[in-house]
Amino acid sequence: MLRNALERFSWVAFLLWCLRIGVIALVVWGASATLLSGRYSASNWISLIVAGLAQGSVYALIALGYSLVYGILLMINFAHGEVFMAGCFTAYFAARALESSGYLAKHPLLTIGALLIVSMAVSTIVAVLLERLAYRPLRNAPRLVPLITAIGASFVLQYTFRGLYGSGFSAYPTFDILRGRWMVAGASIQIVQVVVFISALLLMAVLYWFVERTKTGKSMRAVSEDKEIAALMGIDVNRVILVTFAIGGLLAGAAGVLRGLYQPQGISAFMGFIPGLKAFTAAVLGGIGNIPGAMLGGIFLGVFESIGPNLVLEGLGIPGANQLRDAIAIVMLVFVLIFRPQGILGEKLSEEKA
Amino acid sequence: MTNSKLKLGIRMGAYGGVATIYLCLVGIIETFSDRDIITGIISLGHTLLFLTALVTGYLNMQQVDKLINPAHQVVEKAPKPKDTIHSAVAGIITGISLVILVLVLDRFNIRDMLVNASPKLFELLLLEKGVTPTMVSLLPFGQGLAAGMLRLVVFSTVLGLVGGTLYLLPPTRRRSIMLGIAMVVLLGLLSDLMRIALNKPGWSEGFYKLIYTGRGLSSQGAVITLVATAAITSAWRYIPDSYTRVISVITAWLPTWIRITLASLLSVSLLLRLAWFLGIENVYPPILPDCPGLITSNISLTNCTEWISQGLSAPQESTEGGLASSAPAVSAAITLADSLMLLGIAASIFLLLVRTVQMSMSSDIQKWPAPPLQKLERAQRLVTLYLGVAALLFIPGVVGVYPSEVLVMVGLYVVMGLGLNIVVGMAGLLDLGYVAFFAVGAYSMAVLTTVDASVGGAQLSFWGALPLVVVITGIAGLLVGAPVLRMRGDYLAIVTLGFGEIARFLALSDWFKPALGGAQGIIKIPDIHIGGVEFVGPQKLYYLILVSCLIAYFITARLKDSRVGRAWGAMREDEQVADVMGVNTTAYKLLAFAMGALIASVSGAIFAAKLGTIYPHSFNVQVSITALGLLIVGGIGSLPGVVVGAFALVGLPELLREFSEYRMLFYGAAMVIMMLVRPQGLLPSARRGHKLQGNERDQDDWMRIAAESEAAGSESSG
Repeated sequence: MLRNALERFSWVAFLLWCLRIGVIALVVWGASATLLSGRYSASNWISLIVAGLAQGSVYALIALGYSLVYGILLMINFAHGEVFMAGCFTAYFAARALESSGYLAKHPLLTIGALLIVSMAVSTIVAVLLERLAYRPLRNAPRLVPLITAIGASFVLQYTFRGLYGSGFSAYPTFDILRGRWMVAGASIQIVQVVVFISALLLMAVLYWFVERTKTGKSMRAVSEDKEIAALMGIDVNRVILVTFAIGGLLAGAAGVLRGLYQPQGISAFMGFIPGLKAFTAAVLGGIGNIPGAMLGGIFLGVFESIGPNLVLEGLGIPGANQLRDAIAIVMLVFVLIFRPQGILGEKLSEEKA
Repeated sequence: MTNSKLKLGIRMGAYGGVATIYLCLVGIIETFSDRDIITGIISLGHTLLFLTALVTGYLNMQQVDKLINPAHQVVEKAPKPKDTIHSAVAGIITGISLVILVLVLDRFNIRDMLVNASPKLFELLLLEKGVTPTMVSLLPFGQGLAAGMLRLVVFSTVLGLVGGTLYLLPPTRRRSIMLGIAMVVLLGLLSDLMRIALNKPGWSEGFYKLIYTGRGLSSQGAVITLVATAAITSAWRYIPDSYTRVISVITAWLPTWIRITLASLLSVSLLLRLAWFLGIENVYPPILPDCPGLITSNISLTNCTEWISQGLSAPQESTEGGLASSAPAVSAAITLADSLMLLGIAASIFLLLVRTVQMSMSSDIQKWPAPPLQKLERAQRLVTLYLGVAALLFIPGVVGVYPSEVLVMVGLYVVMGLGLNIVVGMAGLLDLGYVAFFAVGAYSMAVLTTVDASVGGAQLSFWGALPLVVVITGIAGLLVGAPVLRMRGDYLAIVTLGFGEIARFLALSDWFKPALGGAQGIIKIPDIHIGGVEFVGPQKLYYLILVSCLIAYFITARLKDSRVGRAWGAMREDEQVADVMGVNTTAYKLLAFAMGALIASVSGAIFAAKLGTIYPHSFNVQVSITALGLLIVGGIGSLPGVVVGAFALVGLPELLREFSEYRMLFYGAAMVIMMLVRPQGLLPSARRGHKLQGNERDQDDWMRIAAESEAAGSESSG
């Protein structure tokens, strides 16, 4: 018995277990230290969580794009963050034009609708072009080839939009109807955060209905199950893949406008890189290829990122904890990939998928 | 058939139009229009504008060729001259697209959104700007909007036609014309570099004045370049032959002792020059050929001593003279060696002449007999090596400060590329966060050596710190390698990218500010010394970088063919099989990460010492992408490819100052295009990494399935 266990002992596994225990201990220690110190009240936490929900729902919308594409092509569309940026950045110009013409002040809701249409259209076009020009010719290439292409495409898109729209940072106009705050249980909550969260949920519900109930959705699921059999069943695989990229683009475009609503500043050609990386983390966290997983992962990541610096890092006594907010997502990605590569909702994938 | 060819022409023309409009709106045309290729005739912006039409015509003809002659076998079905009409159609469509752009620019103000849709672009498109007034008056159709638009369409059509015709030419002639155009563009681009390198008293000035004006090529320079390139391309295949023949004559007919004496005299002279160059204390040493001339140029003792006494009388801060104090003696020695060598060369030429005369006098028909093959090959190798080493050693002195700076940057990236090549090319682990190791190397060097009291405190010298830096970075490599051991290729890529970003976040954070200086970075990193020689300024740093490049190259080349390299190769091709065959994949993966890291650390350490100050912002993801990009362009796994890639991706953009804004666009496009068109790179390695090339059996099961479904799809459709 003991000999058996000794024979199966591996240093890598041992170290990984140590790491796992260490991380959990650190998180628990930091969290309890903060909570015991009573530095933040319950209403602080509620505000942080609501902000995290809004941020997380945007991550979730982008993450769906990664997840859908991964589910079908088993490929990380690294340039998806730039698809998000393209929509958001273009809609910014529409927003500014509508603001200066006074239309925004008169019909704010219609303006948001128009921005959504512009942003979603641009993102969809970029996503479809990306698939058509960069990925389709490499459909049967070894796995790292499309990944390298995607990285290259990501930089091409960043610098193309920088060239087209200029290199400065811009800000969305503010909407008066979204400006207020609600008081809930002593915590003040920004209306815009609630609006963003609910719109994102609505979009996800539509997506879920589309994938589960429509014929195209069914063919998407079939292709993700097995491309060969799906083709034999009369499904046009190339069309389905194109539709998948288009849907990813639509969601990313919507995410772009929502981001512009609750966080108007910092619109530039490089705004897509970090959200893209985080959305990928969210997709992996939820179980990549899994639609509810991406939603859940996004929201979980958003909330954790929102409360994490204050809850864990400050408890550990790290100065300037909020500077490390972006690092949290990446550290989380590393730990998820080490300890649970299938994510929260992902089933135990077979070797070839995981 | 004609109909489909027409359709093809229209489609290709539309693509060409979209591409040109893209170049216009992204701002490339406008930015590049400030640089003249041929002074007063064409700027780089216009060259690009016209090249798109030319390339459209060319590609259209290629597509026509594919359309009518799919298997490329039947000669009668090759495209005929009359098919160029379709290329013209493509050119017309490209021109019309541009006209639409011009009309939009004329009617609407879209500049609020598209910053580059400026009046300047408008004028450039109408060919009214970027050329001299005399050229404008020579242009057909006169002035004005309508005339400009007509001109655009006509020019595009003609260029499309020319492109199509170019495709129809026989390959040798086509190649020489295309190379000629490329050469004109390249020399035009390098005009700044050439000014630095050539525009100084002596024969080079005359040459420079002939080929260049102050801003770009002169018109006669362009013609000379075209003709010379065409001549060289057609003579190209004879050159290696004549080189061999010269060497064979020398080895066969010159006594060994003369050859050895000449070679050693040359070596002595070169080494003395090098010592002198490194020894003078000026931060930016003046250009070498100004002092004691090379074999060809003026040799006079007075010139040289005069120059050196000037150098010595210049104010000097430090007193540790090194070789500089003995400069007159050194220069005298150099001149002596040079004169002796010249004497020797004259003597040997005389000997050879006598030989020739003797032979022509004798009735014996037999001319120069060839030496034994083995001896010849050895001699040839030696001579090539000798010339190569001499060239490498003397580049910085010949080209001057700024080009040396470029070479230093290229060298830093060559070292990094060689390290990354171990991880990506040999072990098959796609590492996108390679900058982290570069950063760890630079930061640990900075912390260990800085004389700034607020950070660090060890205050070691560069050489004292270097071993520690290498060890620290190697450990960092292990730390990064350990968590990603079990991750599959694409996850590994993203996670390493994340590590690269984390490294930057940490360096920026308040948390590590006491140790790493936060956003202000670390200042006062001392320079590198060896004995009395201070490696300051790019021309001296070059030697340090050169040595580290050679060491890194040697290490990676030896690793590649070693047991370790084969284990990495096995792991790269198929990890499970490698594991089953007894390769300890865990250990070898960690080793790959550690080796890659410690090579990058050397690059980082020199980088830190070179700049004297480092900031977290120097270590962003772009560095990783550049390193990966140069591997991809050169050919993943190929060592000469790393060098070629570094020159193409780092050297070229450094030389073109306008280019810097579009550098990452260029890298991204290069990566995409290489993956689509030539995944094996420009200089593919002999033993290919099959993970990146689909021609071999693929390890992933889904790949096999995909390939089969593709085959099934093509069967069912065909």
